[in-house]
Amino acid sequence: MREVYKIADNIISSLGFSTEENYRSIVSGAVGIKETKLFSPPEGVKYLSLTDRSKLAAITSTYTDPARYTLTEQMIISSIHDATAQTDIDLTSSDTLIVISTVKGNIDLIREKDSTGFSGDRVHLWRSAEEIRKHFGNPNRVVLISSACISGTLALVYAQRVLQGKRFNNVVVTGADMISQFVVSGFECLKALDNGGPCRPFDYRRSGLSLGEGAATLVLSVNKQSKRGIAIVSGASTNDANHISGPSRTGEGLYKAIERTISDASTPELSFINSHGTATIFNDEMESIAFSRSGMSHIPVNSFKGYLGHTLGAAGIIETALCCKSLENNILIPSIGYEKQGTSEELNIITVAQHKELSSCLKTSSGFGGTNATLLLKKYSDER
Amino acid sequence: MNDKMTPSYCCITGGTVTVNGKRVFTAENSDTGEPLLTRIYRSASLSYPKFFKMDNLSKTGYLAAEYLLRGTPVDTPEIKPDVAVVLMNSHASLDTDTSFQETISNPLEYFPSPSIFVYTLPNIMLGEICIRFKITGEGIVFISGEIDNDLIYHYIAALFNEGKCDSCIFGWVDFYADTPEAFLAIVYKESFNAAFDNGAFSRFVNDSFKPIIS
Repeated sequence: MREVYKIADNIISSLGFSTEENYRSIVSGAVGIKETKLFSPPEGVKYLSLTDRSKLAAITSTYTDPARYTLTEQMIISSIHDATAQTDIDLTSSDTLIVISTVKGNIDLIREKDSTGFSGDRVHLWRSAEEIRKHFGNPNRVVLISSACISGTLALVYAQRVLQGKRFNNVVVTGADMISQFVVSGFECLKALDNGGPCRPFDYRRSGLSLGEGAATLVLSVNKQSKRGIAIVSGASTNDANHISGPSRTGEGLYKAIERTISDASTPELSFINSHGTATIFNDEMESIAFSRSGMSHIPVNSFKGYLGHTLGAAGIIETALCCKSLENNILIPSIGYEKQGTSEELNIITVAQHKELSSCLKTSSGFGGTNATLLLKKYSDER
Repeated sequence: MNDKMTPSYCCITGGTVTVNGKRVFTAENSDTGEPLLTRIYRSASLSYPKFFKMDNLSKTGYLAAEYLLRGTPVDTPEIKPDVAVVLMNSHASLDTDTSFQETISNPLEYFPSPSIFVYTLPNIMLGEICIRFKITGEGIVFISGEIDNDLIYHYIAALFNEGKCDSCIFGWVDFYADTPEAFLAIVYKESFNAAFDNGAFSRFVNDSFKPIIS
């Protein structure tokens, strides 16, 4: 078994363009979800977590000509540059693999009257990924993972596994999704959005999710860069085999994914769980049942969706990067928007920031298609 | 090698369905005007009404799975936690994405449909296969311009080597421009390493799935 280490990271979101900036905003209680009339289907306001697009172009322009890339591609390029600049890995080397997770990629290009000037074939995820590969001069075909809301977490599980083979020593895992009329209209027609304000994961008043956009990168390597840090220990994915759009009533799929992840790892007590926590009635209820069945009701749990919304293919990676920050700083991050129990099973939701010695974290994600993915992070230290 | 250990496969390409290389369906000129996938469904004497509410990508994957898994250890009513599904395609869910976009493009005729939107994800076809066969194990959908044997081989090998599954359904399921295209195969842990190295795996896929390779 090769150990896999997180050696660098980046987050791009409504709350900033680096992990540090995002982390500081979040611990200070900043919420990136704002009222906007943008992307609203014919009328009404929405609560969305939007990235500063002019700043994104400005940052991208320090690496390349932003006009050659779509917004999603700009985020991926900027995120990978910022993360890999913290390392000495060689992106042009054959032992470095790029993995991208996205749900809708350049879906905006599907519109008939598209004014962006990009050729229509960039709507194909693999065409877009090829542009990223060329920009970085990486010799390997980019691995693209598109498995709904678990894409980001699953991409990290994939990366941990691919590093068990000997072909790659470094994997750059990036997730990205932009808000589009397509996804806003879709979640709106499913009546899955909270149109009254930022979403409230696990709370008794929760009424739906908030959509967000962003990107994040985790650079994973079998070579550690420092004497202390975070190891990606294990992960799993499962399917509910129950319903394509409704979460399991019993939490069976998530429960199994958790069992498989933990039993692999001979973990002592988890320090905290970072849940999917979308704030839809059914998702949060399902998670509470799964955590309870796993005997984890007492373990501190949070969701970051109340800060940044649901960033789809980026979510699992943004949230894992924040979990790493949390572990590194020994701070439990509160689950914003939560006041009172709103699930049938009681959970130990983190409501105020706490300083505490932390050692491990379970990240979970669940999504349409009955998918679940889980990832176990652990702190390591070579110092005595 | 006993039957349980022999890899088997199914292809849906160019209006034909083959199972382990044998033709089991050929599209004749339709006098009913029914879509190809519906005709394949009827010819297989299946009774799974959910088929009719699936999008075309899911229908393609579902039909390939029905043909592939008939008579295999997976074709039982029990829940199967140790079967993995590893799928790949090129168009993701673009066929259904286009249908959904048509419902929102014109503000005067804005009427997005939830039943279309839920299929605008490529992993829904994986979910439909899992629901039909009660598969609860590992699942992943990769997007690639062409079938990437190397990626699939190494991932399946990793799943077997790390004890994540006992058998693995893998392949290519795509639907775009009225054209279904599927290659689905099942391999078993007991025989995978004996049957395949990287090269043999590629030959197996390329030989079995000629219509789109050539």
